[in-house]
Amino acid sequence: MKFDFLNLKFIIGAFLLGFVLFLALFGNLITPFTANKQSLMDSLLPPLSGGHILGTDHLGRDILARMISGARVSLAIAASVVVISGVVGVIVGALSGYLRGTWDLVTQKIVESFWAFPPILLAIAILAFFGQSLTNVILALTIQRWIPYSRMSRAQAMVLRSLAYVESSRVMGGGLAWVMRRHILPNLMASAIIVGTFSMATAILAEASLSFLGLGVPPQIATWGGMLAEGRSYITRAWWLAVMPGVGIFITVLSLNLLGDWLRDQYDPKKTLNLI
Amino acid sequence: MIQTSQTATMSARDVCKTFHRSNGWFAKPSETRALQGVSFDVEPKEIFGIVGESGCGKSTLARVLVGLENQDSGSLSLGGRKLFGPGMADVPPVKRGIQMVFQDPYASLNPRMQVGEAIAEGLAISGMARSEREDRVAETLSLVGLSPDAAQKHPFQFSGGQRQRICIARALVMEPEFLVADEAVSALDISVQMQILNMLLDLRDRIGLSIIFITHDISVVEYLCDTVMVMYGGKAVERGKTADVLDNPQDSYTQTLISSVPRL
Repeated sequence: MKFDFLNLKFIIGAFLLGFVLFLALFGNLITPFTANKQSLMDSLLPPLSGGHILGTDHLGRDILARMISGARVSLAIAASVVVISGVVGVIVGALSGYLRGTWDLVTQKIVESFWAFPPILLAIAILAFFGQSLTNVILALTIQRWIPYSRMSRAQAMVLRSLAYVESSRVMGGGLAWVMRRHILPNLMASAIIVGTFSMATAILAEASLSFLGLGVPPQIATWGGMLAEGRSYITRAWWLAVMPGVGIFITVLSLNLLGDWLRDQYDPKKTLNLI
Repeated sequence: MIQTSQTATMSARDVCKTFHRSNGWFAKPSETRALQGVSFDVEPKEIFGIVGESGCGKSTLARVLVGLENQDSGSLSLGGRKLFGPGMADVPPVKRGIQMVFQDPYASLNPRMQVGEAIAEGLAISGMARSEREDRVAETLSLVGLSPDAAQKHPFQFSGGQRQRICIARALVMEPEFLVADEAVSALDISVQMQILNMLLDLRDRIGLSIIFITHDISVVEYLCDTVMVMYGGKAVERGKTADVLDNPQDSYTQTLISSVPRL
């Protein structure tokens, strides 16, 4: 498998995502301020004034420091959601497609009933019921996100199970665990990574939406969605309050979509995945 | 050295298999009676041909023999050992001592696995040590006429005929008492077909392999098989020495089948 790293989609996507990652990991080295340090004397300072590169908000908090915190929250939540839902979805789907029968029937009914809920409504319900915390946000976003993986894996496993090399493995004594590990799961990896990249972009958007509605992580943690909600009322007087987190969300989602697109082209230019 | 038993006789009695397909919750399920009481005996070191048109049940029979499909009724024994029959649990595929070569040499090998890994897969499943596996793979590769360095290559580096040799090696490394070849040369060029058929004849002579060879091609049967069974609509309509059946067919379907073969 040869990857074309000179592709514009890859270069732009990797650069933008690298920038966001750098901000999340090493942002503290750029700004001396912390995300929650208030200073009412310095409220609503425009960018590049008073030592605040991106300005300050209505409570005089440094926007760059809050952006860094937001990047950490967004990336951490989205990555956990994608990994957990990917592992669960691929295993459930692969077993459905390979075993068929009762297991398939039961899991597909579960999948259909989960799919029947509007995603953001289900997430709001879960957070309202269990309370706001980092783990509950991850749970609320994961609970539907494993489904695209399971559908895709099920469809592929149904094809794979009847391939001669899988049948031959069974004739040579390969049990369920062996066939899954050696033949089925390795073949599902490429599609799972592609689905995962797009799914991470939508997870970031969903996390921002929840924070915007005040239902995400606890309010004392700065998030992009929360900053957008706060900045909304100052949009005419201090545009940077809402624009900065908006740009953060925009470039992260854009970079992931570009990378996902690029990955999909690498594996199969003809294939279209309309799973998310 | 790869060994086969050279003494085991296979005998199948009244094997039946019906496929049921659901047509939704309220409609009657439809039935396909793929095997309707098939019986046959294969002697040691014999190449036994099963011939018939598409859908006559010959592939289903192969899958039932190796255990990929469960039969509805009937019995099968190999060298006095019962593999399935009334009042007993089916012997699992790997313990039957029957290995299979499939029709499509391109779908038969996992593109991600090195050839050596693919051939040794059954040995790895049974827990054999790596060094011993490598020895067996090298030995089996030479048996099917491939060089030992093929083990480090990937399937895409081989042609269809070479892949079929690899598949035969993968079956032989398990030291089966019987080899079931389901349309094993149908996907290959005529010249490559001949090489594979000659190799099978050679393997029979050298290691005493017994083969059940399933095909729709009468000329392949004529070239390869000692005895032949003609199947039609899930039943065995005629059985006998290849020369007798081809020269003097008794059943009307066999007569039609043989007369439809183009002669040059």
